[in-house]
Amino acid sequence: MFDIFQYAFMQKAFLVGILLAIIIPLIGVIVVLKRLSMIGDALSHTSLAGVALGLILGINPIVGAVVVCMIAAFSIEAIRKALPKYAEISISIIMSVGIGLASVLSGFIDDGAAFNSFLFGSIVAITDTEVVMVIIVTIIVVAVFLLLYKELMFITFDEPGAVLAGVPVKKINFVITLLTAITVSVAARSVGALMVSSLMVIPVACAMQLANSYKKTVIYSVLFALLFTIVGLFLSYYMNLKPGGTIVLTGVVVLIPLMFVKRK
Amino acid sequence: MVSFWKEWLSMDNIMIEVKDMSFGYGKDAILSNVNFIVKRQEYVGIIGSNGAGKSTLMRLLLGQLTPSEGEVNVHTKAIGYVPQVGFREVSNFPANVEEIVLTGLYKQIGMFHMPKKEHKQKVKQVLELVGMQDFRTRMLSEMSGGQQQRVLIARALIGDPELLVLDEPLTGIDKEAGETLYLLLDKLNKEYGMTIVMVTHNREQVAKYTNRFYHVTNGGVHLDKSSVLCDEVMKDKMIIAKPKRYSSHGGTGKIHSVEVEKEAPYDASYKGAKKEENK
Repeated sequence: MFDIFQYAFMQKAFLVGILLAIIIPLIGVIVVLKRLSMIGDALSHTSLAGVALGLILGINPIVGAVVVCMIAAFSIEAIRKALPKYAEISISIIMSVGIGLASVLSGFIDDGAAFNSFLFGSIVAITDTEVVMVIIVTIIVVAVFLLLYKELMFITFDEPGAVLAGVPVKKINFVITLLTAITVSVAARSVGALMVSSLMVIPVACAMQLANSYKKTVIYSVLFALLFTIVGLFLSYYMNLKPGGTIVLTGVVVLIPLMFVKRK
Repeated sequence: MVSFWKEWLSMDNIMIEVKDMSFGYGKDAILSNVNFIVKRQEYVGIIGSNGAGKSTLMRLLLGQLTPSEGEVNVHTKAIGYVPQVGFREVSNFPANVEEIVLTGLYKQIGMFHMPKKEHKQKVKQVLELVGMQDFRTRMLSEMSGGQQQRVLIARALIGDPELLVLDEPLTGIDKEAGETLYLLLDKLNKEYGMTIVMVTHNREQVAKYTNRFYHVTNGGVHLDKSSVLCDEVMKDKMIIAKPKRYSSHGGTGKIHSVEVEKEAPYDASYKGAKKEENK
């Protein structure tokens, strides 16, 4: 059964998959509870514009995605502040800009296959540089989440109250926006830009059906993401399926019965 | 008599002082030339219809907004704020009561630190005070609006506030739960000497429990007639440390005489109570 681990590319796939399964739901808990679930979608679509730009300019596409994603993330924040009563509009605007830009720029790319690999991910064709990038991002995200655990919960629960209590809300929001953009970009390569946001939301949705505290919501979200990733990778290997999509669909298959259990 | 008023209006006795304050400019002014004071240990209501500017006034008092003209002086940093529970963000948040109440101890716990045993012990004490001791490990989302509101009051109280500010505490709460809530606030004001400012649109309840209340209308803030009655009562009874309330129970308009306690009432760890004790 474990002949899957004989291949170096599968070992790498599991390592990257497990690390992303830890950090994507951590970011997911924050965006879901801030009612900004769609932010993952907007950023991942915008990251495609960065990928295209990277491929055109001959730089690492992930670096291109990180830069464009950061600009997009801060633009969303800026529009949210300008139109505070219509926060969702900011996400739609940036998502439209991102998709439009990605579509136009993709016309100038010579290597179409390289661009397509970012759409649905290519977890089995990850380079060593990308593994190192994922490891670094994981260390940073986990450290920030643990250090700011209490503050992040306070901000997501009651932002005005957190400001009043002296939590440096603006600075923390800045850091989280930055980390969301970076996480989405590095994950786009392996899971696929079109599926990152699913991995951000589905494990959190599953955890919320079972958890009886915020702490357990966070822990369960990570455990669910790990379960989906590991099961998804096994299934994709043995059934010859696309890994990114298999991971996400595994999550959906678990979420649906959980929702019924909760309803009862 | 002169010395009575002098003492009653002395700066030491004032918690909130709003002087010639305006917010917004010209035709867009939400509040213009507002003047009022809230004394320590008073229980004050701010009422007004939707869009009248009462939430803006509350945000100005909390320091979330800066007045475009004039001054807003709040003479304490120990402010407990109770947000509305009607919003989905608050009522559906996946956290248990202990986790929610602990956020009220943020300043004491400090950034990057995790709560200790003593902090969790304090949660138990404050939950007992609001009658929610059996709900410590329950999820906030599984509770009724009235229970959620009491949890949020517990969160505001755990930081030992001198001033408690509540934003529409009756939103999403049935009448019976609302009555329980008002009795709790009344207890906090009377027995613990806590200054309370409550923003609401429920005139009936405000008239029943508060010392005085202000109407926010057309950009102005006007003292309700009943406050005059309140002052008259004070003049008659010569109560200095704590203004006399009227109609505090039963809502019949009957004036009750409640003497100020010189002894520290209940748990003296509350700052309001300490102040009373020191006098």
